[in-house]
Amino acid sequence: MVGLAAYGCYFPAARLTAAETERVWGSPIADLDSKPVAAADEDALTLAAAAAATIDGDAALGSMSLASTTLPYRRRVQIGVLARALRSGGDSLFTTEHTTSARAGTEALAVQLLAVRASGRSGMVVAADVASPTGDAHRAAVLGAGAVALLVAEDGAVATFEASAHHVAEDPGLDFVPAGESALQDVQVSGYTQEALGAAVRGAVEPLLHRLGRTPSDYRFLVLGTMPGRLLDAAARGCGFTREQSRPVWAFPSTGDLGAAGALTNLALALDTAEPGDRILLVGYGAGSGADALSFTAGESAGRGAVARALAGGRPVDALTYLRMTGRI
Amino acid sequence: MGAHVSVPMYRRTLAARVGLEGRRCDRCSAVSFPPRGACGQCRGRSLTPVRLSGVGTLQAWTYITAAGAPPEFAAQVRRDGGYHVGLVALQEGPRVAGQLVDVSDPEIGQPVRAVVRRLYEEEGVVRYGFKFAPHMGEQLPAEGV
Amino acid sequence: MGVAVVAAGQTRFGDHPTSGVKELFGAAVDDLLADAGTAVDLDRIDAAFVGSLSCGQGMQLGNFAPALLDDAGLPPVSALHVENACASGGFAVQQAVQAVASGQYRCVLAAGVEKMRDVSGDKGRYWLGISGDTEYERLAGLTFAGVFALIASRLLHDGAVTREDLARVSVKNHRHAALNPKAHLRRRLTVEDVLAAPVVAAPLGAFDCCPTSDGAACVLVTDSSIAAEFTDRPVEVAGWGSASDSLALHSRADFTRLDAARRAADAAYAMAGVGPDGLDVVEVHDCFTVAELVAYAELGLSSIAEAGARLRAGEFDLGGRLPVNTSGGLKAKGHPIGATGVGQIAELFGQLRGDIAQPERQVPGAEVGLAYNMGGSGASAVVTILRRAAD
Repeated sequence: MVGLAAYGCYFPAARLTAAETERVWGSPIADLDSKPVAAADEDALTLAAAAAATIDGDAALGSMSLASTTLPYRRRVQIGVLARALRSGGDSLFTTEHTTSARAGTEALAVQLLAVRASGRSGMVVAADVASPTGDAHRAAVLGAGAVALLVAEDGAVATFEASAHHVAEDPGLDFVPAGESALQDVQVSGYTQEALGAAVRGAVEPLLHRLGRTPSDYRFLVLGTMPGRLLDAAARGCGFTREQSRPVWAFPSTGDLGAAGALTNLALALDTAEPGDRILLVGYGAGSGADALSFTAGESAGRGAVARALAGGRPVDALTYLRMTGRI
Repeated sequence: MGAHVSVPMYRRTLAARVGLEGRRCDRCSAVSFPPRGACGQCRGRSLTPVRLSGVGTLQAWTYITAAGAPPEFAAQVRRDGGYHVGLVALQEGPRVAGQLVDVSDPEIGQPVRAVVRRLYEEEGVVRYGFKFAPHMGEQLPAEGV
Repeated sequence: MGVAVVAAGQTRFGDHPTSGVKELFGAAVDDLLADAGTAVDLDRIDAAFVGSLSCGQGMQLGNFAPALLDDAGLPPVSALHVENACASGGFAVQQAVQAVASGQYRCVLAAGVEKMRDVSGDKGRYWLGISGDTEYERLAGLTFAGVFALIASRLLHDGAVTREDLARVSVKNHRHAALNPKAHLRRRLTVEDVLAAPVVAAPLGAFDCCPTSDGAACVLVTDSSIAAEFTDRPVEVAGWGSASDSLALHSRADFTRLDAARRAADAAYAMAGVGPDGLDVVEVHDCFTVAELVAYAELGLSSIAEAGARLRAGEFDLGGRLPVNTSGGLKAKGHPIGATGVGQIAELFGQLRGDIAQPERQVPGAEVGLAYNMGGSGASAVVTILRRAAD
């Protein structure tokens, strides 16, 4: 059965801790213990290459999809450097790039599931985001940096894919960057933000559960994005899931907001903890709004500790170093 | 020409810089990297591309401060301070210079592995290439052919 | 056919804010003419070779040598720009010597000039290192300081030299330069000063690195048979050799060695019929302190392992067994790239004629001298052996 055959993560070594944030800015950031900070020579593409490199070399990729809202260029094909790094692309590599919202990760995964089913060849999904030095300070404070890679194959030894459902709506004013600008904007109306998120998640999850004839209690994990805990809990509650199903597979406290890589990093966390046979419901949400819901069953090869291993060995940096590394001073 | 690496010149080296493609001598089997026009061992000119593992051993290192960095690297120095550069003996034989990342105290003899990083940006074009990170013994991609 | 050096001139090496390459070149020619021990008629020059890397912007790049000859009022003879990085000057001298030895010309000017102090710090750093391996070493963030730091790193790790040995090269050469009015850096240093200097490329600090200098130098090379028409004390060019190597350190079999220097020296020794023991005074290419220590080994003056002890014992000091870099070397006399190798010959010319104006800088009774000039981190090397002509 088509599914996930391997996965791996990468996080930059430098870490800004809650204690340092509190020391300098006076208060910690809610739910955030520590977040990775990219070095000057890292960007979304190098993060993506590092995550992809953790997956055992399989030169016979038929397709690859890249998801990121912080690629170095706004216009041009950029997945080529990744294909080069993976020594792939020589013989008909189908590629897509997904760049407009945090949903990009699940968009890329959905495309690869289709591609692998159609071609019979393996496909790779790589999602990466890196905190951009532009944008308002409040928002920038929660932005982390990291990448996750998933190998999609006809034999999903890590997890098998069951079905998906998708939702799209028009919710203006949330988490957007106008053409020609670089800073993230938001109307900053918290009730509206939470309501739009909840509606989109429900809009994808409910039809999927209905089609599979399941209820939330059939799932061990509900995997959402790396959003603040308040929003996470509201989104889970809104479609009938509990904190116990979503909080254990929520990397945010140690990664910050990973944008397009958030939901797939949380999926990696779920695969790290799942027992064979556990059901996992993955939901990618992008402000604007759109949501993808994908249902998986964990296989024998899950439980590899990829997230913990990638997060191990971080190097704390002080606030001044953090501001210098992110180009703000 | 100076030290400027033009965009076409950079592109011609991408297979080596990002894909770690070297050349194996058809006569004596020695591997050259970075790729050269003739075998570094026997000077044979018939060479076949070969993918390298990127794993090697640190043979020498230096720490470049702002005073020693070429101006192309000023942006990197401004954000991350000085940087280490090492001479690495790759397990396939050849030796190459590269920046060292995620090291504070390099040791000659320590194992390293290649990672892809930004080298610098010029003419609005990011130049990517290999650097070396400490090799912790995690599982490695198999050596290609 | 014998070849002789019959006259030499050079500017002070250092800052010359009011002089461009033409003025520097002209000043070196004036210095050559001013030598009381020679009588030079510039109209006798048959050809000229001018060494320069042509650093920086804002200067004549194409037709460089004809432009200099024209401005200086030299005869409009065949003139060629010679470029082999930091060895440009040494190779210009070798071209002149070979042009005379071939029999085609009888009187040839070899010159070198560099204008390095016109450019900003960033542009200066951009140009430094353009003669290294630009595609890989440079893209690893290395200039020459970094490349030589890699060599030093390995030698220190292997215990072949100590950090203090590196510093002592600088201390010695600064001590020599303090006596040389043509030198760029004339401040005496202590080992502690060198160790305390800001790091440029660890383990090398600011006082392990030569400065960037303006300067020019020229020597007149003639057929030995007419040398007496210029001076009663010509200096014979007894032997010369040159060689190449991989530009990148990583391509060399042993990256701590400068193999081109060894091969160039072997050729020059064989031609001159002398060995290291026959030398009285030596000028070596010490762009970084570690380069001088490695040069001792390549020229056969000392093994690397013994270099530190010999340096400590003062063997290579003025007054020692074999004085090295009596001018102050690149480290302290300065390094106006194209002029450096020609300046080395000018220094030896003075030493072998007993003409050094400062008595404490003159090596008494020096008869045989060797100059070693290197391009980049050793991709090109040229060695010249001079011998005081028999009376």
